[in-house]
Amino acid sequence: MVQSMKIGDVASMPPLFPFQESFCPVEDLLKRELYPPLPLWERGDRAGCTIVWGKRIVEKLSELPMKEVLVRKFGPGELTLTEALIVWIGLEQRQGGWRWTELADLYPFVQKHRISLPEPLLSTLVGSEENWHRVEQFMQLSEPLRQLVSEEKLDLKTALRVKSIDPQAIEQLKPVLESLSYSERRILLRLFYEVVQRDRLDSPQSMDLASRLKDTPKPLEELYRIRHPSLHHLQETYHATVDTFLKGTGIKVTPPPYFEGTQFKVEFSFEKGSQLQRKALTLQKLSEKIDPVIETLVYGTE
Amino acid sequence: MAPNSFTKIYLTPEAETLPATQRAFRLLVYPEYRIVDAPTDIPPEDQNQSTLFITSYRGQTVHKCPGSRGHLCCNYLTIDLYLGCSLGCTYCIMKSYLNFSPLTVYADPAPSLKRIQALAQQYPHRVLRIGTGETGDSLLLDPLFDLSRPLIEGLADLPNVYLELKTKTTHVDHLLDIPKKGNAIIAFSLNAKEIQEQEEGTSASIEKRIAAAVKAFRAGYGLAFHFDPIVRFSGWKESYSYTIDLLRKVPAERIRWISLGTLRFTSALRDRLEDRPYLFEEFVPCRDGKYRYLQPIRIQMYKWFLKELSMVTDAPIYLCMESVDVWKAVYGNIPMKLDALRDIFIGIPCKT
Repeated sequence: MVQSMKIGDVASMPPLFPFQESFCPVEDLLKRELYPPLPLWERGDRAGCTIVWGKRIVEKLSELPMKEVLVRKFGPGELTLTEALIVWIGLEQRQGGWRWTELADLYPFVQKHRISLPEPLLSTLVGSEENWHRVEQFMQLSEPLRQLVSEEKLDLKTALRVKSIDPQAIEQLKPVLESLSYSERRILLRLFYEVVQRDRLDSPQSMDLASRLKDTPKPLEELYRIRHPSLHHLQETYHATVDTFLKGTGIKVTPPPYFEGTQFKVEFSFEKGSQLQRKALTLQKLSEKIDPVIETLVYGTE
Repeated sequence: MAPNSFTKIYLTPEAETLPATQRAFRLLVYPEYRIVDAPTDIPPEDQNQSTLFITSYRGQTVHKCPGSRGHLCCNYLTIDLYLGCSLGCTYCIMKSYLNFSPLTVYADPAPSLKRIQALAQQYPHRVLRIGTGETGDSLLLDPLFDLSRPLIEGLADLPNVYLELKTKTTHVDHLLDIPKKGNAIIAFSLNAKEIQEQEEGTSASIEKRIAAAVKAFRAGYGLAFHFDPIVRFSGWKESYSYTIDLLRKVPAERIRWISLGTLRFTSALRDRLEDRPYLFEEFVPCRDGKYRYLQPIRIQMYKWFLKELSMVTDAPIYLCMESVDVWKAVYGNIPMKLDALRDIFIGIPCKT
């Protein structure tokens, strides 16, 4: 039955659920039609009457010059806990879905009370019953990773892959992570994790690495260099020989990607014969020097 | 390494009376099973490698090895007798597509046998290399189903056919008494001892595989060895040297071929592999999209293997799924221009 109640009386009631409700701006609250009669539940136990949904609204309303609020009171036996949760989820009317942290709050409650939500509602929450395990996975993450995932700065799959990174190291990396794009962030964390695993870095060593990256102007490049020392060595060798030799000549020689293959590409442009002659002369000189470099880069011969 | 580690058995109706099924059921002391019309009828909870699915159905009877874009393929032919494997190697390529499938036994090898016989007669001057170890271990379940026997017997009179049964097990005893073996080859995947112990699940130890190889050659089989995947780790040379040295226990002239292939994986497979120390080495994407060690590193590894193996055998040694550039760097030429390898790499010019 819908009835009007004093706001003060409603405000003194505890919320039924521990979940955080959506924020409702004050100006919206003044348009009463935007929220329904608040559901209250007299469970018949010692808890007394509880607010099923709308605790935040009541708190806000009590700051306004309003005296009463419409409520819908349910008596003992009129609701089950599952139905109450369905009401709560329904009244939230989320358009933009649920945050990971909210689901992580919901999940233990659902598990503890063995609540089985109807399929359409479950779909709005996690997609399907099986997807609850993703919430479980999220809950296994360290706090900084949880934060990154819930703020949609990192996907769950990558977070799970790198979940063994020391949380303090991730905290240390935060300024770096903030400065990167979404995909760069994924790459950096993945590389960081791989270096930690490969070099069996303990917590202080992981922190050192994070600190080093924080202090470097190009952290992703630096980490890539650490993760791929041999490839970096090949790139450096190439740069120190071919690139340096060709500097300022207007000729570009590109090695095969990742030095996989044997096809080097030459690029240059010219406007007249004398220019072409100069390029040809440079290339002639390069050809006399390049074989040992190719031997090292492509064939691994020292 | 129990061949009967499965917990559920399903079969299609026509498979029930096949000799291979009857034999397996006799050896398994008449287990419980359920008849289904198709693998899709197996309940989702049993769609895994603990379930055995026996069927005679097959699409194509003989396949060509799919090869790998931009890499040289040895034009191997394959027959699927067993699909899936329960050995549990951490690097297994099948993890990228068979995780949620039952272990499947194609219990009627007759159509494949007929097709190979026809191809062998159609191309009498070409060497046909056929293996049953492309989609599963050739011999893991073979003591139960004995499916290799009819192939060995049926191809024994064809001089241009080399049937290769590739395994990481020691399951050769049931094949020793076959009177006519023709060019049948028992092949063993080999690896560094550490890799076998840490990464190859319930496979047989390297020493036991070599002991099984000794049994096989004494019974009259040819032998082959596959160092694949070759894994680079601290002390890899010493460890592989130990394995290579074990090859001295088999007569060099009985080794028909040896293949080498360094560790490779697609990015999809990488996502499915659990993190193992060897995966934190440096890998780069190659032309076929697979990740491999850096080319100069692979070349040096292959050269090392060639040198070490050449001290043990003069059997043909070839590279599996490698680029022309690597072939040229290691051998000086592509296999089709190398006398020792030409026959192995010439394929049959037709659809299988």
